[in-house]
Amino acid sequence: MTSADRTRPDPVSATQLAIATAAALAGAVIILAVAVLPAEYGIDPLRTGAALGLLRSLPTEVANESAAAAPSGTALKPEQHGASSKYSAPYHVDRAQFVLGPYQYIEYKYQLAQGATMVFAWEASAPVIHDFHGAPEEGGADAEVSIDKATRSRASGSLAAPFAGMHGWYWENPGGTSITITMTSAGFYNAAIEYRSNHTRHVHELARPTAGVDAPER
Amino acid sequence: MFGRTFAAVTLTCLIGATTPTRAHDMFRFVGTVVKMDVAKKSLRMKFVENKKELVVDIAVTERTPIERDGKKASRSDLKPGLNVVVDALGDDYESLVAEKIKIVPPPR
Repeated sequence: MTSADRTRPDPVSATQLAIATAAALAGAVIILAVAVLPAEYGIDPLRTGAALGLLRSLPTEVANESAAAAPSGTALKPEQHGASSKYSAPYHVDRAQFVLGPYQYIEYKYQLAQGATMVFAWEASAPVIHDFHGAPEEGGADAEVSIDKATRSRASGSLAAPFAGMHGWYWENPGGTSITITMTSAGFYNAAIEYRSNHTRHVHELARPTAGVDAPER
Repeated sequence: MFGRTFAAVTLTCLIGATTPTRAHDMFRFVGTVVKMDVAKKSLRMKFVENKKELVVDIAVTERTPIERDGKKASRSDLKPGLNVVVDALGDDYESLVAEKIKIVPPPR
């Protein structure tokens, strides 16, 4: 036996390596299910998160958000017929009022399919920093697209969603006095979510148009 | 040899499994300075949330812009009692790093 043979470690067989890899993966999956999912995502498949006190408590509003924000199939997708679009469900109407405390901001967004339309009007009791923008379903916050950005106290208009995702407003109170914002809209959106600067989210209930509400006063 | 390989693969898998993939969240705090520890680069501020007064410690790095009346300010300008608006990144209130600090007039 040479000195090189004495120092060279025993080679590992492919079987041993496969067993080691499988064991490590199994260990990782167990840790994922026991600790990581409950602590990071509030998902507790084995009930170990609750037992170990690791469960991340998500506000009810956030839990509701995923259901509410999920596109409901093709229900609100436009079907183009020449100059008009048709939808398989009636549009929604919405009216909301927000009080922005000093230096606070809020975001209010609707879930729209690509090409779906809405009309809106909002008014603030004092000028606010405003950004009308959209966030595609894929891509996260980095993929947000600003549509209209300015400091103003009112705006009205329409939108044909350039992509499927959340579309709406960022309003920031630049001063030390509370500001009230009132907004109304109608459109083929299927969810409305309010995002506050303290990182809570609230799902707003949407209404369907009724003859009594939408008919002009005579 | 087998033991070392096993340990290395296990460690790699564990690190991969337990590393959070979630991005940090951005929080805004509007409140007053309790203390700015320049040596520890840590700002303690108090604010009101859901009618409760809370205190948080926020790391302030060299890259954190600090602004007062639209002009650049420094960490030593963050005196107790001053009103501030702090945008901070973190997973929760225990792990915050200031992204931007503005010294503002008190709310009316």
